[in-house]
Amino acid sequence: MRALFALIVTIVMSGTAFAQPKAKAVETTCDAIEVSASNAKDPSIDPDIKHIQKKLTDFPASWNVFKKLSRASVTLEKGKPAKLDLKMGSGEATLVEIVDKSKLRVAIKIDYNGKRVVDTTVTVEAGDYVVVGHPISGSKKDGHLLAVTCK
Amino acid sequence: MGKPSDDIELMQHADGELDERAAASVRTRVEKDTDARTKLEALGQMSELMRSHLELASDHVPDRKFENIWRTIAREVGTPAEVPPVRKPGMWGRVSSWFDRYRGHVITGAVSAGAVAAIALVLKPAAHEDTIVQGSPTIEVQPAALRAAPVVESLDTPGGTGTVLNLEDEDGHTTVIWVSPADTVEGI
Repeated sequence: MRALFALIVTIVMSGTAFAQPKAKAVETTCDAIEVSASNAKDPSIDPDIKHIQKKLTDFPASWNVFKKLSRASVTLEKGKPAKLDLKMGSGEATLVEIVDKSKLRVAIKIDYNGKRVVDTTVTVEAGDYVVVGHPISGSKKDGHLLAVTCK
Repeated sequence: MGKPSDDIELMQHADGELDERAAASVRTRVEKDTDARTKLEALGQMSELMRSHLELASDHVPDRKFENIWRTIAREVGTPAEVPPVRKPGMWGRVSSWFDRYRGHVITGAVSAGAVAAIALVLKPAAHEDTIVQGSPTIEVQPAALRAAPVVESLDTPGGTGTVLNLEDEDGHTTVIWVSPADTVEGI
């Protein structure tokens, strides 16, 4: 009886000793900027997205008006899809893995009008941008863009 | 050396079992007989010893046993038992009495656990590569000039076609993925 009791106490206390602090999950924080692009007589860009102006104007299209629809900071945990709250359609991003400490393998999915528009996996350096775009139904001249950068 | 009958008389006297006349006779004998006096004193000491021992032993009998004794007596006599109320120990009392009972077990367990923990600390394997030590930077951001070009590993554009462009400026790379719906006549 005494030996059994001592054994139970040993197991319980050893379990506590063995319990290692939970390792921090592999994750990255992404900045997701949703933009509507169109063409007008007077060019304009939302001040909130001025810092990515080059990436949008370099886009091979004739747009000159860019409006921020939404902007969100999303934490991606490895292997766990995270919803992107978009004003137009819906999106999802997943951190597949971190490569060579500085590159991110990210999967991005965008749905618009209930249909999948794009499903892509990109390996990109931390700090670089991935911009995914598609024409908006109707005129099909205006664009819906999603710029994502992670670090 | 006295007769056995004298010794029995002495014992009865020591126990207070003799009547007044016989007791007076024994007292007279004891006054005259040194040997008898010594025996009587020895008998007195023995009785005292026995009484003390029994008192001590009765202190160790738990209250519950007394309860049972009272119940048995009451049952035999045929009257309802009037058991003296027993005070139950409080939570702290129960905890401390439990520790008093199992102190040895707890100490043995704690010492064993300490030894196991020490061995575990010595033999503990290094953290898995996939896990990151808390507080350390998760991802290294390279200077723009040192960054590698992005790689589009897979691209699925149901109901359309995808165009991939890679733009590079002083801020780094930008991967552009433009999806043109299949029914679009005028693309970019």
